[in-house]
Amino acid sequence: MNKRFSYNPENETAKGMAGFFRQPGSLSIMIGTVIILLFVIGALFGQYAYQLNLYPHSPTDVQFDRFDSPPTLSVLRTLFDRRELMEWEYYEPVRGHILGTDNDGRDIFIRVLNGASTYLYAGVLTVLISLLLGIVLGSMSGYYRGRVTESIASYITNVLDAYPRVVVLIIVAFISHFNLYAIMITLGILNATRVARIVSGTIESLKNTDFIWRQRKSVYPILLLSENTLYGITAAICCRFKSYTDLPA
Amino acid sequence: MKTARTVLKEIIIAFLVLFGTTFTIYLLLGQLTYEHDDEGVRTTPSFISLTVAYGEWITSAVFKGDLGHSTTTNRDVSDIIGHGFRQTFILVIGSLVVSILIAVPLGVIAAVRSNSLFVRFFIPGTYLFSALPVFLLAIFIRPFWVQHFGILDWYDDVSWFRVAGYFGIPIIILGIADGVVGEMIKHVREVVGGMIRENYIRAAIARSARVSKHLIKNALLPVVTIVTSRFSYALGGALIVEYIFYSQGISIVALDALKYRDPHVLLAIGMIFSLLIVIANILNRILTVAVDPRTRE
Repeated sequence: MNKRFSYNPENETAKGMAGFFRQPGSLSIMIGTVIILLFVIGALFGQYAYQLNLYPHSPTDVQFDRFDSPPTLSVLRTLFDRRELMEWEYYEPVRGHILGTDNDGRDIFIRVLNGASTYLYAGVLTVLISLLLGIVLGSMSGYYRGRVTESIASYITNVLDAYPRVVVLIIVAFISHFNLYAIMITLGILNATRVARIVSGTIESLKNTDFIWRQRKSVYPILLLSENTLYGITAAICCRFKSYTDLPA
Repeated sequence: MKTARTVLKEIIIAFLVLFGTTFTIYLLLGQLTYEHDDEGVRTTPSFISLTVAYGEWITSAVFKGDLGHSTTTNRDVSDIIGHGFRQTFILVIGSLVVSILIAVPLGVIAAVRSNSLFVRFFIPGTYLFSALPVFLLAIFIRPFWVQHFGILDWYDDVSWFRVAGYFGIPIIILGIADGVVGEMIKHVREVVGGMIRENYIRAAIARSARVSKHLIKNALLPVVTIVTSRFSYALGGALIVEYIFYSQGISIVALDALKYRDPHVLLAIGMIFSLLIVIANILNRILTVAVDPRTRE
């Protein structure tokens, strides 16, 4: 019925890249991989584009003769057509600025690339913190269901859930004088509740399965549980990577 | 009886949670203020003095309904907040209603006709549009909104269309962006698609009985969960949206309070927000039990 996910034994026999491209859904996998790779490469190495002579402008290069010039990409230019609102003369697009310049005459494209590395780094930090805290909280409330440990863990989860995130983040930003690490640690702690819920649900459903229950007298079930839980949550965590990193809006 | 016990337990937990959130926010805000020690030197307040001050604040807030006094504007906090709060509340509730109205029909269609051309191209497009963050979408839409629905030339002509656009477009943006609609469609599609393959639904379809009631009732479960868990995000998004579109309301109050170190205003905003979130969580629990009584423990 559904062609995309139907099983075709011919696909199993072909090996290598040819076999991969014959799989259903391989095109979307390729497109997604290319987008992610472009983003990661741009974020990691884009800031060195000026030093490597790949791009003519540097992120801190101030040019007073071309401030606020619009993008040279025509699609973006129609989106941000502010000709009626602007009175000064430097409106005409300057060749070489793909996304235009800001009001100090700095090139926006290279500044976006420069900021993307920080974004990537901060996202990874946030996800790591929320994973650590979330797995601890979630396994506490999932494994010790109905005991004091569970109620403590679920209380912490509920409190973290009930924070008005933007208010807390603004306060933390002011206290820490807009330190990136403090903000990211706060965001990671606030995001831990989602991981905790996934983990506790997975552990609770796994705990009652036969192959865990049979081993309940040995040390082995904890290892089995943790292994299977990690398998269970990997997909969910990967899917939500984006939502962990974005603004808490 | 059992349901009443569950609800009572949830309400007690909610009070404890509110205590936890407000206390930690108070401790954080205390780092922004200062006090004088015996020699008259400025220091950051100690943990004990902050705890005592929090105790005074929470007793007067709970028993007298007095949320404190703003030091910069010399007014009562409830007076300042109540003014800007209505708009935020309308924005949040309206956005959640909009996202339900968009996501549930699309999710059901996507599950029932999973192979049609419309679903194959329109639903991924919806995901793409919905994945934009609130502030970006708001900044993109704002020039258009100013041009067509702006308040500047309302003296000339006011039509229902313009009023609806003025209030409606920010609500729709908040309801769609940040992946709310995409997430909801995905979950509804999963649940309904799983149900359609169940034997009793297929038997009902074969007998040409009406299945839409069962489908919608079961599709509501993930929607209830997502809406209530998205509530805190919607509150944060509402701050950004009203900052960009209206430049008034609770977001400006909060930012001003932070700028001029006015802790009681921020504390009251934080408390009301977490109260709303906690109420949403209780509603989630009650609605989940009402839809599926097996989840009552």
